[in-house]
Amino acid sequence: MKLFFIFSLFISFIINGAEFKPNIYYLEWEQISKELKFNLALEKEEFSNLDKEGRIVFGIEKGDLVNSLNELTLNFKILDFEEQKLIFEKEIPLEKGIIVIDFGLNSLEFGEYQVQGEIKKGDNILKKEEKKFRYVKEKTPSNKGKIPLIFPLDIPLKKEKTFPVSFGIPFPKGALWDENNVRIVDKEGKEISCQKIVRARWGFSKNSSIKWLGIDFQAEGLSSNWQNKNQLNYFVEFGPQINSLPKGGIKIEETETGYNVDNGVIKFTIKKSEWNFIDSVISRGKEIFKNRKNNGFYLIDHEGDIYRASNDKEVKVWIEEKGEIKTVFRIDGWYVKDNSEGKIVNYSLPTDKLCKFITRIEVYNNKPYVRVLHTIVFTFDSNFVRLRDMGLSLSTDFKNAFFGIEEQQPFKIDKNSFNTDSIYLIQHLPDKFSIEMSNGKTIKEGKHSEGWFAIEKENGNIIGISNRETWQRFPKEFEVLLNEGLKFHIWPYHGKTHPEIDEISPSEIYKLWFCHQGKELNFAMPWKYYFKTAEIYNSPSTDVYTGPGLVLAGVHSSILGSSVTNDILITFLEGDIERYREISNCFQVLPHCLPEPKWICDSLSVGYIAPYSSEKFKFIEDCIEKVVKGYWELQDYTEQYGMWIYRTWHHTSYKGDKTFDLYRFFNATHHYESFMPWLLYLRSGDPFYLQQARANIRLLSDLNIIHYDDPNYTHKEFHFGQKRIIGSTRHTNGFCPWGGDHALLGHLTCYNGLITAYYLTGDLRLREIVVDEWQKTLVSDRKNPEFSSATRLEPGRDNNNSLGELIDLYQLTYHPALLIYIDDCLKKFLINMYHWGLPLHNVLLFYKSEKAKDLLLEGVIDPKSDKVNLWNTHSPHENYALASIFEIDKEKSKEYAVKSFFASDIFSWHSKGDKLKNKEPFHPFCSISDFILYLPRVIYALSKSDIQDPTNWTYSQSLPGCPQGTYCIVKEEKDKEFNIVIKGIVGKKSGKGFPLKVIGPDKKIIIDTLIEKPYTKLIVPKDGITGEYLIILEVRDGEDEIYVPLTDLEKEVYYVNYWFQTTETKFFTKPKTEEKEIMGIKPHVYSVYILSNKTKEIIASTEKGEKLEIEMPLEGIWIIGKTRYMHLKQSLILSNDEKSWFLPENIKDIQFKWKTMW
Amino acid sequence: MKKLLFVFFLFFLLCFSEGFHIYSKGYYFYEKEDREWHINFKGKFSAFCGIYFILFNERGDIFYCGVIPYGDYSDKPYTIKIPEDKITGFYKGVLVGEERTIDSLILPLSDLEYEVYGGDYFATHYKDRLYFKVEKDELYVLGAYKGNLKVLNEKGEMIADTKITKKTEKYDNLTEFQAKKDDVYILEKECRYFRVKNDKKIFLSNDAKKLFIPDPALDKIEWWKIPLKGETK
Repeated sequence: MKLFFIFSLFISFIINGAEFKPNIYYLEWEQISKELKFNLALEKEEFSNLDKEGRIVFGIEKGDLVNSLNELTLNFKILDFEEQKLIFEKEIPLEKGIIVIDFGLNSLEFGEYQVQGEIKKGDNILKKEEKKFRYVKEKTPSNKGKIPLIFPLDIPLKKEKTFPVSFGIPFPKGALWDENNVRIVDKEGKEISCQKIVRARWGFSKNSSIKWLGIDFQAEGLSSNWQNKNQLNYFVEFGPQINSLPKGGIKIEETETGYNVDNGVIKFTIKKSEWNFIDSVISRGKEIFKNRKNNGFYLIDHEGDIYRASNDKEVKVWIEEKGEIKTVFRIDGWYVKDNSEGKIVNYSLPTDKLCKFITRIEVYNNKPYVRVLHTIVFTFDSNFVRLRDMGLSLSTDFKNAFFGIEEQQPFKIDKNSFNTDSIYLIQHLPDKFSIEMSNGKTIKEGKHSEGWFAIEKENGNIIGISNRETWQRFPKEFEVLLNEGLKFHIWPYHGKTHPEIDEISPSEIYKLWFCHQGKELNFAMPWKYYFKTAEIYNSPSTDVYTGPGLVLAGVHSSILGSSVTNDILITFLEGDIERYREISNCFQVLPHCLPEPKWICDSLSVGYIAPYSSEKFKFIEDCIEKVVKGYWELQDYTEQYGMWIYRTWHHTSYKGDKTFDLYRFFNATHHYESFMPWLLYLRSGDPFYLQQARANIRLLSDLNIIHYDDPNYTHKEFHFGQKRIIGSTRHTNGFCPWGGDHALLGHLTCYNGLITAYYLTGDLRLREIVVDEWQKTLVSDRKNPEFSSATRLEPGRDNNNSLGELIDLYQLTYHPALLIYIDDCLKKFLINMYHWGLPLHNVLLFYKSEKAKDLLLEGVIDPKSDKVNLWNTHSPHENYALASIFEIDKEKSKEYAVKSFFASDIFSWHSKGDKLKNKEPFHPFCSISDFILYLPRVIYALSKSDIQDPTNWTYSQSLPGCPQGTYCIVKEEKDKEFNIVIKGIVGKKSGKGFPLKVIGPDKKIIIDTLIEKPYTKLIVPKDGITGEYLIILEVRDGEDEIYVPLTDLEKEVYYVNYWFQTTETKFFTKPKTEEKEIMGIKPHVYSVYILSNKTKEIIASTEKGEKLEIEMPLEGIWIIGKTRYMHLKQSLILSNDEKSWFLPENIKDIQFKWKTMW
Repeated sequence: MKKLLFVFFLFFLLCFSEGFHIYSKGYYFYEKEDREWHINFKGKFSAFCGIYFILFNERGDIFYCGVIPYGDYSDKPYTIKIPEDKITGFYKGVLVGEERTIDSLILPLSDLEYEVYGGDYFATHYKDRLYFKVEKDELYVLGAYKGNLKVLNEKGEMIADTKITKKTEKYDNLTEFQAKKDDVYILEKECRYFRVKNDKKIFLSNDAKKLFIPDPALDKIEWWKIPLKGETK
């Protein structure tokens, strides 16, 4: 009986599945809407068996007419859509504004479901919503594998055995569920100890599979293998058979007063109060370093008052990431003035507290050094406070001091030679440092510091400080003080002024010299910057859409809320200076690695992108490199260095002679730029992109995003009058990285750059900004008076970029409230799909909106009939590529892939890239990311359709129309019935048709008709003869837009002596004879590119409609034209592709009515 | 008691009455006879970087060029003294910035008899009548941004009204009238911003007695080049 009962239960479970038992809970939701607002937000429209769990969120804002949420209830139902069978129903009183329904998917059968929700007051239904979701079966990916690691840069070690490496690896959805099933092995298969942390999952639950795994390990010295994939050193292995636990040895003891850390080489203490950085260091049982009470990080204001981190009685010291291989201590606090109570915060002097700090100390197992990422958040107004010094002091005695110099032996000086208080190296220009005594005497001068200095103690111990990108982020100062020890000056104490530099000359003004030189750090942009700009533009405009107006906004800007981060390595070494130098130089490289790019791309963790392939897609890859590297080289050429501007993006143009258009010169990430180098890096492993990405992300995260607000601070930005709100990204309008308008949500943000950087590097500051600043404001500071002006959700680019961004954020944190924003944005998006950032891609890949897919696939057939603003875009190649990816019909998918290639305008970009490389005038920079960001998707689409050479592919394009008669000649090899289909638009303005004649091989007229409507199908019957048929179409410019091919015959050509066209076209042509044939072409105003059919390289081009004459190679050419009208020197026989081309015999009988002018 | 209430009422009006302010591209002064005169900046200057002020005449002589620092000058004005210097005639002052940063600046600025505010774009919260003159005997088109305005002649007869004209240009409601150079016109408006179209200018004040037409040469001075020369007379 008992057995029968268990058996019955089992059978019932098999038949009915598990019971639908959702986990229902409330979340706070600030009530800001005046109207009753109700969102039924699905996490996504399609769940799969790989998701395991699903989520529905109800967001309710009661509006002004309802007194309290408690008066309302939510009634919701889940039904089987087809059978309308009730799966679940519940009525819930509204205690808070968000109700989350998390449910296991295993209780549902595959199929469609409907969710209905009602907000009720008593029995009255105030609002109703319903939505559908699908539950589908997805193929489970392999749950094991071995992925090679790619090291973009050498790890330059000889004396040292290993160096810490932190990286991120993605896994396909459903491939990995437990991080312990992952390990690192070397090339011999030996397991290497590593530490793992889950950075993101494929779903909100801890039961979801792992999407991004962070791995820390210590790699031996090696050579870069990004270009030599056969030289493999390390692999990531995963699989259920692996159970890898960290085998490191960092030991941490927490006491009341601090943390005692033992990493196997050094023991040190970090105090919990009076935090003076590292209090003491013990090596081999002996204390080798002891900081004084007032050491550590400090600032000095322009009046000479000193503010120290160690004075902060409320400092918070905690462990942010704990592990045996790497542990990260986090210290949050304020710089507090000496002898003050530490209570008053003011944005001007006097103040007890001046600037906040966030410090991360990364401790590594068995390493004599710690990495310190120290962020200073400015809490003062630029016009009221200046700084004489910002730095870190370490107390130590010494015997010798050393300063690292690039490509030279370190400069060494013994203590006995000190006849002043201190000796320092100051990098006061990007290409100039000097080593000086505090009495002003210069000892040595040179170009680049190597980014470190150190002392040697009597017992031979080395204590050193290294700082990354020292000359690039000048000015910096390294000082050794006779009686105090070491000071690293983030802003120099012995700053220099350079009167020889005309700081407002057109070739210097954008370098912001006012905050890169001098004794004091002064963020107030002088008025002369505005007047000089007005002089340059000969206009005193104050308008936001002008160069002078934006520089005036710079004059009005304030540093309050921005930050600066320094990446520092502090070493306590028993060893010689050369060993220290090796450690420091390795730190300058900051070793990193990636899983093989193909693995990353195949995982779909970054979406539909293809790995770098210089073999298959050389033409595209060369163009990407030329443009992006050319951008960087131009910045080098124009010497854009300095701690406040290093690797910004620009918006407008380079004008030559080291001058730029100053309008929107400092562009935070307006066109989604900050994601671009990370994207290019992860798909290639190219160290250049890593360097660019790292440098730019620090600028974005420090200066372009607001980290602090003072409620008493009345400052408003010059244009639009915004104050500050934490987590908001700057736009382009302040002529400095920290000024101008800003947004939390809008077209101007690219938090995805920070998110991707966090996944790849594990940089916790980036995550902090995204989660603890941006997301925190979005979900819990909505009543902030600045909130509405910073959430620009107008239909179009603002709404749509936000949608893409929110979907990326959701996949990092899975905060339920984000689904309400996503729901709002999605509704607007499906009406106005204007493209900016990654909205469509994310909606298709993550949310899986059927409607978005349908709109894309309907629109791609005829972009001109676009009703949802999808094709009014900077980046049509993204639309075509996505259409290709989502189109099921293989032939159409191929056609869209080819169109994505041509729509990218890559031929024109090759010549633009040359301009950048050659430092010629270039315009505009913002279009670079519009172009580059979607090329990996274009390559993905081409690869998916197995197309390597998109130039040789047929797709519908404009008929080359000739006034008074276009001659299309087709060749019938075998007698059969064939169709002529007139696709496109007929009689656009007049509504009248055009005449069409078909003349058979026997010169008899077969068809003579008037084409009055598009998609007219004409049948040429099987007639007992074969040969050439002449189709004469009297299409009219501006009236008829007809697409070719017209027939399904293999051979189809167009004989022209001039043509007009309604789309961008690519036509193949060949010489008519074996003899030398000069082709002359003159496009109207716009560009034409002539490609060799052999090499597919551009052999001639014209940008603005200049005449072009070339000798046609026998193998033929491709004519790529964006223009509307093509004037020819001679007649041409064009075809859609090479295989369609033939030399018609009957062209000798054709007399063009249109007389071309050359 | 009634008297007391009346006094109280007057005091109330005084406290809450709006001082005259207007943002314009140029602040024009006319010194009829040589004397020491002053420009008094009254009100709150909210921009922490201050406001840049340049004062010059049609010959390009510079009388002031520098920053008026951030501060509240409501009670004690920030004063610039122009000494008796054997120079008389027209002056133009330019305040560099947007109207928001100086929208509490109380006018008139100077202690001269004649002072007008001129250009083709104005912004003000001031609700009372304004008076203006024009440079030429021509058709003038005025536009009220998201609002309305009307123009009256000296007799108080309405000669143009956006509500009657009912023409619009983007956000501006337009009206037009045939103006004469020496006539005084009255402007009544229900808008914060208003413009003069077609590159024409008007010169206005809240006091008809202060009106004058400045020397057109003043507007030909490229004042934005002055600060870089570093000269002040």
